[in-house]
This record gives sequence, structure tokens and C-alpha cells, in this order.
Amino acid sequence: MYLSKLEILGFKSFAQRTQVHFNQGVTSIVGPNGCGKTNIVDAIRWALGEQRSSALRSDKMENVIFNGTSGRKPMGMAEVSLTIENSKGILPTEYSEVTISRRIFRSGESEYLLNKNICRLKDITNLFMDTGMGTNAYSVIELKMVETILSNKADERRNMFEEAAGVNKYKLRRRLALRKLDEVKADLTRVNDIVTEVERSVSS
Amino acid sequence: FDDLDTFDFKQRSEEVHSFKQQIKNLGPINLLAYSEFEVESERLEFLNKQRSDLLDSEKDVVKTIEEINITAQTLFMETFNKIRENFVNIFRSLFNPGDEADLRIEENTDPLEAKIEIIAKPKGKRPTSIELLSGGEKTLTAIALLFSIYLVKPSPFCILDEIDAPLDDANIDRFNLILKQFSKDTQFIVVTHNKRTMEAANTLYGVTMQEEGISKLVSVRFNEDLNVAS
Repeated sequence: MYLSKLEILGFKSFAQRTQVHFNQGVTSIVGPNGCGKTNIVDAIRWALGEQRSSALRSDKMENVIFNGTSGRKPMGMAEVSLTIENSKGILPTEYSEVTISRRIFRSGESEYLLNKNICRLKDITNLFMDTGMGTNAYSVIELKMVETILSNKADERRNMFEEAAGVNKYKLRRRLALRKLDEVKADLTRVNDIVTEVERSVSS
Repeated sequence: FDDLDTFDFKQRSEEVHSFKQQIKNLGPINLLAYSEFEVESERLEFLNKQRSDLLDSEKDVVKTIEEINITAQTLFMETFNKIRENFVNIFRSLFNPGDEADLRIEENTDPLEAKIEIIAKPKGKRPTSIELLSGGEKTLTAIALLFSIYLVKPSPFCILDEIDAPLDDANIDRFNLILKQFSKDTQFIVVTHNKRTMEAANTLYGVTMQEEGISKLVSVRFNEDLNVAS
């Protein structure tokens, strides 16, 4: 399984329809600073269902739409399609080629498509679950992550290990359980109060 | 009356008096007292039952938390050990033979809260913490660690966004070696400025801005065989 094609239209600095064909092995993307190399990375992440606009270096999701230049008008929609070669059947679908697309309109509406059929974000997330391609996986490594590892804050370093181990869902469950425990304790105190009250009136 | 002779009028009157006094001492009489008592004791029973329910659920929750802790801890330690193994291997292949590195976790504490330390031991030097290494060494060590984490949870493709920027030529070559090694199983998309990394690529794309603000893509292909195969 590998990424075979990326099609970008109106996403960030890519105003024109742009196609990138990837090969197996190493594909290098080069170019001067500020030309939109990382926007290609962002486009891949976005198509895979990234929900945090900060991870895409933008404050609002609508801002990923091409915003116009001195010579060009802004666009009303951004679309990124990612084609994945699935000949080995790693993705749980019968198609040997899977295309996922994501669209966003200026109005804030967004659409997800799976092989050109409209679907929910959940369908896409489910498709990638357990393949290591989800948004939380280490499929994208940035220089920022190197800094995180090197940072003095042990917490941030721990987070990387925790994410790899997948213990975050346990931590969440533990937090929920602790909250429930607090609630139970509060209820218990109330019941105890009432019990003493009632006990007094019964014994008199 | 038969017992008229024996009847002690004075004593009886005292008795009556004392009973009256006792009734008086009871104060106002609540005629509903008995039914109230019943209601209240029913309530008490109900509350006691609720309390034992709550105590039970408290026990349950505590047990669940313990179970979660144990599962999370074993999972974490398993992953940690795997990462550590990979890290030692990758580090060896990235650095010179003789250089060693290790991951250490604070002992005797909850692994979920413990500190993780990266120990690097360049050849001939004493083992030091990662903070004391040079910039390039640090980056390379971190890359080794990222790859070892990545190996535990591999994905079919991997995007590297300018992570080779702080490396010198010698280290870039080592980095590329690793990249080549891994590219058999994983597809790599590398954003880079480094010429040596570009050399290692099978396909090269250039991003330019011919028109202001609009990115344009130019493709250059090194490896024609791969092109045919795709």
C-alpha cells in the first residue's frame, strides 16, 4: 500500500489543479523557502481527516482555501484528493485503488468523498484505523517533533511514548473513572447526612 | 366497691397526680407519630440500601481504575522496551560503531508518570544526557528515536518535513542510509533543502512560484525504471 497520487485544487497556495504522482521508495520535494512545499504535506494531512487547524498552520479551517493574490481572485472551495494503491488489500475495502477527497467551502461546509461517493468523516477514519495512517500516527515527522524529543520538558517526551503505546485512551478512561468516583463520594456524603437526620427522628 | 376499706385515697390521688405530671412532661402529643415513625424508618431503610449501593459502586470504580492502571502500565512498558530495542539498533547504524545510546525510565515510580531519559555515549566519552551533545548529534539521536517509535507503529508511508536541516554532510549520509534501508517497506515523502538527500531520492518534485503567491509543481525523475514500473 502506498500513496500514488495527490490532487490539489484551491488548497492554500495551490490555486491551479495540481497533480503529484508518488512512487514507492523515496520522493523528494524541493524548492526555495515560502513556495509551498509544506503545503503539500498539509494537503495530505488534511485529506486524511486532520481536524486541528493549528496542525495545518492556519487559525480557521476556512483559511485553507486559496485566498487570492494581487493578480487572482480568491476561490470558493478547496479540494484535495488522495489516491492510495491498495493492491495488497491492507485497507478494508474491495477496491484496489482508493481515492479519498475532502472539500471545504467558504461557508464552512465540508464534504468527504470515498471513491467519489459522499461519505462521513467517520467512514474515512474507520478506513484508516489500525493501518497506522490515522492522524495520530507517526506518518508525518517534522522538525518540530525533533525539538519535542530534545526539549527539557520530560512531559512532552513522555507524550510521544504514550502516543506510541496507545495508552491515551486508558488515561482518558482513568480520568472518567476518577470523576465518577468523585461523584459517588459526593453522593455518599449526602446520603450519610440524610441518614443521620432520619436516624435521629426515628430513635426519638 | 369491695375494696373501699383498703382503698388508700391519698396514695391513689398521688398516683394520678404523678401520671398527669408525666403526660404533661411529654408535651403536646402528636397523634400521627406512629405513622410518621413508619415513614421515616422506611426512608432510613431505603437510604441505607442506597448507601450500600454507593459503597459497592465505589469499590467497582476503584477496581476499574486499578485494572486500567495495570493494563496501561504493561502496554506502556512493552512499547517502551520495543522502542528501546529499536533505538539501540538504529543508533548503532546511524553513528560510528562504538557509540552507544540507551533509553532509561525512572525506576520505582508509576511508569505512566515516570521520566524518560535519553542517554547517549559517543565513543570514548562518558555516557551523558542528550542535552550535552552537539546540535547535529542531538538531531541525529532524536531522528533515531523517532524512527524507533515509528517502527513500533509503522504506517505504509512516512512524510519527513525538513528534519535533516541541522545535519552536517557526514550525518546526512548516515540519515540517507537509514532512509534507503527503510524505503523497502515504507514509502517516504521527504521535504528537504539538502542536496545529498535529493540525490538519494527516486523521484524529485520542485515547487516554485512563477506567479506570485501561486505554487507550481515541476517534476524531475531520476529513476526511469521506477517510472515504468509505476
